[in-house]
Amino acid sequence: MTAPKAAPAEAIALELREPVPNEIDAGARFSVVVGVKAPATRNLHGAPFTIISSTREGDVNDGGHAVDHPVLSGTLVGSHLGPEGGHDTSARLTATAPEDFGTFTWALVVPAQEVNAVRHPEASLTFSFATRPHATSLAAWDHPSPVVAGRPFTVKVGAKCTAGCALAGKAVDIRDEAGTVLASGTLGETPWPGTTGLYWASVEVQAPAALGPFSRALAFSAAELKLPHAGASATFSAVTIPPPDHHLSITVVDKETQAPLQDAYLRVGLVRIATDDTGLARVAVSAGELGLSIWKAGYDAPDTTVVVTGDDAVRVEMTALPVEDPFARWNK
Amino acid sequence: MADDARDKAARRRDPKPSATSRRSFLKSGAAAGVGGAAALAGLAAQEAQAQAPPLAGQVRWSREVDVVVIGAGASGLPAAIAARDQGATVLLVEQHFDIGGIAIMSGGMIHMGGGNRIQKEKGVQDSPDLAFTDWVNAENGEAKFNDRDLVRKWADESVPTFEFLTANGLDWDEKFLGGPGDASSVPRQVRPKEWPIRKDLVAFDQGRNGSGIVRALEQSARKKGVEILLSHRMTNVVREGDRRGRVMGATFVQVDRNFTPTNQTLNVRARRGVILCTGGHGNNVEFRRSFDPRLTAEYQWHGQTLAPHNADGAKAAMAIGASMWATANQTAEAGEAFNKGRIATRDNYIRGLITPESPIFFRAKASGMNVTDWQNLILVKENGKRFYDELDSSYDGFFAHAMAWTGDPAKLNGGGPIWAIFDSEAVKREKWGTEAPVVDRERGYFFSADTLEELAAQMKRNPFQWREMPGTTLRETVERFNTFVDTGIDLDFKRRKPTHKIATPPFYAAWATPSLHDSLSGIRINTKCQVMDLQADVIPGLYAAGETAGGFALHGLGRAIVFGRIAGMEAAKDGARSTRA
Ligand SMILES: Cc1cc2nc3c(=O)[nH]c(=O)nc-3n(C[C@H](O)[C@H](O)[C@H](O)COP(=O)(O)OP(=O)(O)OC[C@H]3O[C@@H](n4cnc5c(N)ncnc54)[C@H](O)[C@@H]3O)c2cc1C
Repeated sequence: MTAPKAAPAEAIALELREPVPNEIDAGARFSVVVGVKAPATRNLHGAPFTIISSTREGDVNDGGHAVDHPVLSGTLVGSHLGPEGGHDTSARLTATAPEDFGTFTWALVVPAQEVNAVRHPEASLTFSFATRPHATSLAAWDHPSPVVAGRPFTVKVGAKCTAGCALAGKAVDIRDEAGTVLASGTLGETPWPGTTGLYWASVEVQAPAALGPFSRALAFSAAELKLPHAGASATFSAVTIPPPDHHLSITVVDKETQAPLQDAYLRVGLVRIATDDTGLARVAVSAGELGLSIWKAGYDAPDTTVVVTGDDAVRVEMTALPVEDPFARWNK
Repeated sequence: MADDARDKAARRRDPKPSATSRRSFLKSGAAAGVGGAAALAGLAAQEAQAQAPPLAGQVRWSREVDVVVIGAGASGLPAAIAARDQGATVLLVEQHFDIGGIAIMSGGMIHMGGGNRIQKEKGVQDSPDLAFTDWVNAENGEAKFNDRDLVRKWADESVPTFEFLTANGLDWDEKFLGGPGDASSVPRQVRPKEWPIRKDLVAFDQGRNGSGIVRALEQSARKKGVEILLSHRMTNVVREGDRRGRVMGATFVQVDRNFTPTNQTLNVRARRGVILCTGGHGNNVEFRRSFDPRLTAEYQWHGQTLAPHNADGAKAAMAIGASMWATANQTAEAGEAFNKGRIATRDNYIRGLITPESPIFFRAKASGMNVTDWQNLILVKENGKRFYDELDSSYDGFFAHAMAWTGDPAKLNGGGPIWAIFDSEAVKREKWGTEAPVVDRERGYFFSADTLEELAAQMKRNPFQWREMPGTTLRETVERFNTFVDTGIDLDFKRRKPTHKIATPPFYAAWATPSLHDSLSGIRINTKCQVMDLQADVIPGLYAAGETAGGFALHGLGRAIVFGRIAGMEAAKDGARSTRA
């Protein structure tokens, strides 16, 4: 009897085909694209692999001891391998980053095996990354400006987690310049229309008593979320005015045709308002001399002032600019 | 990364389907940053070194005709017809799969006076003398740097060219006489009606009357026996006797619908002349930077997806000794060299709207958003900061500031991408579509996100956004701008009447980087359109017209057509090798 001939041996070479990001959101899915080379073996379909995470456990003062946890295992088959299969191909493996915050070193291990009568000793590849808390960011919108000094107004506030975590039930605070929390909104269940995951709330907050511009800070702290999240901040601004006591009805027309102009943007004092389809804007103001300026693309009107002594109506004429202005030089 | 390397890296990542944008013809640093003839002579030398044309003896000619015209646009079509009218056999070769050049998409307004029939019928007093005087006006930026011999020729040949176009089938828009405009003192711009057959157009429903020029000329050329060869790109012009003798012909490679070369080549011998009508250099980053080093790869050129002007004519001519001419015209910032365009697509020339119906839409990918009111947005640089008053579209306003250094030591030249930032309320006011085919999300020219920080993080997908825009900076920029809306006063850039806050999610970023327009300088020609070298000697058998040629800053079609016709007539008469077919 002759001893069975030992199968020829060949090392499998593993390499990262795309860099693993240095930082990955805690708990997020990410890809490891690994190159698998075994020139003599034309087909590595079915080869098993494991991804092992090494952590140190036990008495940290003592340095602890290394503990290996498998985090992903499977076989280099099907969608893991390029259509050509076999040697020098790329496998895309999808793993989930740990939910805690730290630096991790993982090893991809393809165990010793025999494929098509070729022996492959164990091959491994290590890579490291750090998990980071999920970034969050904020927005504030739909609040009036100006607002009446000392009176409440409503603002919508929203928070977004980059990794798409549901933030419903969490709070966004509104603070003044000194950091005092003035109001807090609890984010609702449904993201703001048109967004992918901006959870939002409508919050009532008091305007400052002093007249003039002010800003408010938004703050989001996600301490109680399951995964670590970085906090976020943002600001929004407005101006305060005294309580209005009169109404101005302003009609804007084309100087030449006298046709009403819709969507002419008026600024009366600090109040901003647009005309409706009849060219009319009704605006609440207080008595006194107020600046009146208008913007409408393709038209012009000089800035002027109105002296408000009671309810009143004002008619403003705008001159149409030459059709292609201000881009006439490019109109060829 | 050094600027050149950065630029090249960006171009490698630029998915636009231009063959030349991926291939720089110069070795690094080619004369960039210096203007004038000496520098350009250096450029010519380096060019010759980088891409030496074949010696005449090395070329096996596969075809032979009297005149080869290269480029079937505003200058090439009249050149081909004029040569054919003189009895020459003519081959007109074009790289695109159709004729027309960028002229087919133009407004068709031909700046060409001197007292033509339409001017007379409208009671406009004009003469060649007046046209000449206007265009050499020492106080006008578009006139003062012109070669006065060429201006005189244009002035004298304008009326005959009008008659030539009439005889070749242009159906004039009799109601129209545009101008004066530019350096002219009387209205001189005539135009034909738009070509009536829709399937022959590339841009629709926007008065692209240039189609009425090129389609009429195409019809006439074919009828007269001009042979037209499409989808072939000229690669070299071949000069006899160690590149010092007469021009013998030109070499071509067949290209596919994305201008990618196939391996089919064609060498055509020209018994009487080769006429370069390949347009200007706007789409060639290194070439255009020889005039203005700021013009790095992020700036697109307005005809890039239709008929790229890759400086091929100028390169081929310079490789066999041609000189440049009147280079000041390119940088005088008086003519049509830049454009504040549409947004959300790379192909963003304001008058070059390409819709999905267009046969070249597959190259343009998106039609972009027209901004009717710049109050609806702010413009920021790649660093997330505003940089000027967005309502201003002048050279000193928009372009100077858009191209200013952004503060990154790793990119000193070029101002980087410019982004329009706006919110969902602006989208409603402008009634913009925010998906394909309006915007180009796929290639990274349009983004939307729930918050400003997330918007900024996405923008690095754009091939020219070389570093991540800091999200905090973008948010702070917007928050500060919103305070200006509260008070009505832009403390940073004095924008008039800031009107709308940018606040309501989702938020958007749309590509708003300036687009480049005309080439206003090119290779040196004399009044017969013969190409000349640095010693002011004629390169025998070589002619040029249109944006390929320099010497005259007249915008567009007027210059291209008048000199195209002259080049055709003169080449056909060029006796040295004449054998009548
Ligand atoms: C949207 C738009 C509107 C315009 N409106 C006006 C207007 O109203 N009035 C006006 O005066 N001007 C206008 N212009 C400018 C005018 O169209 C151009 O200045 C004029 O067409 C230039 O003529 P040309 O022959 O040099 O270039 P083109 O007309 O572009 O012709 C050049 C041709 O050469 C081809 N080519 C390039 N390289 C090669 C090569 N290596 N081998 C083979 N073929 C090659 C190109 O594909 C192209 O077809 C407009 C331009 C645009 C884009």
